[in-house]
Amino acid sequence: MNESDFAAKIVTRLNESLGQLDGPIVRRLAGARARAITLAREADRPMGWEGDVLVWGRGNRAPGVSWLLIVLALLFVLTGFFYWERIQQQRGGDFAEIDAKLLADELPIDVYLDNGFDVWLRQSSE
Amino acid sequence: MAWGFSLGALLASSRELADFLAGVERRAFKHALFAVRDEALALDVVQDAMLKLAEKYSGKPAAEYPMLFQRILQNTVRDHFRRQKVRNFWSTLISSFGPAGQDQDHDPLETLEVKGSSNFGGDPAARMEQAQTLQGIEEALEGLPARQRQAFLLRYWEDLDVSEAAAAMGCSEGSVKTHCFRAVRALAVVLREKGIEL
Repeated sequence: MNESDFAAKIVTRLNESLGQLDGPIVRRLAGARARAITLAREADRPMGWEGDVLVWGRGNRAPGVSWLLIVLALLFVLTGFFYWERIQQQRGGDFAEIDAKLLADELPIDVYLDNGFDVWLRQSSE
Repeated sequence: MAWGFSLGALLASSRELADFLAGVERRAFKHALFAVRDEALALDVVQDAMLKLAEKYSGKPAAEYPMLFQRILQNTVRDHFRRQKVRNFWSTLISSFGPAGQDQDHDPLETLEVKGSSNFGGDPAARMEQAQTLQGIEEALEGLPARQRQAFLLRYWEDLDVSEAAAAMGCSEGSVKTHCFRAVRALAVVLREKGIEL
């Protein structure tokens, strides 16, 4: 008997044994198969909304409209804060430049004729 | 139209997967059982393999399912043994610190399950002989080295060709042929010793 014939006889016996599996094992295998099929269907699902959540492909989920609004509001607040900070820094830089020029006596003579500058000079020296 | 086509393709694909799994699940269980020798563990291994195939490869052509599934199954069995090795190491280490002789009243006979007696009908002598032959074959398969058993089952039971079996086992085609040849020779010797005629 050659290798293939011998193997075929063993395989025949093994196949016969498959029909003798206990009920609970067969049921558990069927349950596992059902779960796998559900998973495969979810994995290959096209893009769509599931309530407030955007779902697509292999279980990918994206936040819905309300979450996007919250994130946008947060971004708006953060942008406003940094913009305000930047303006403050710029103003501080302008004052520092005037101070430096004042100390080095490099201010143009017209500045001393400006009433606003005179007021500012008096306020800042108090 | 595109949605209809997409849905149709999706249903066809999941039907192919369902048919494939239905055809292979019992053999896969036996493969796992030969390797791990515990029904509950074998069921866990098969379930894990099914879920991995469905999650990662359900979009692949159905013709590739057998090779992919067998590869996943072999890897899952290997992972099980790796985890078991680590678990055994830690449990040995921890139990060496614990008090000795806790389970001396334990009787191993109490844990033996009584097999269901659902095999009524037919010629009892023939059924008994069939059961003994099958048991002998299964014991002979369990006794084979793991790689020889894998090669034999993949080539002859799963009907994979040499290249597919090699891909599933992660070895060369030459190794598959060698493992198969040795497996057949070893099985023939063991079955002859047991007095089993095929």
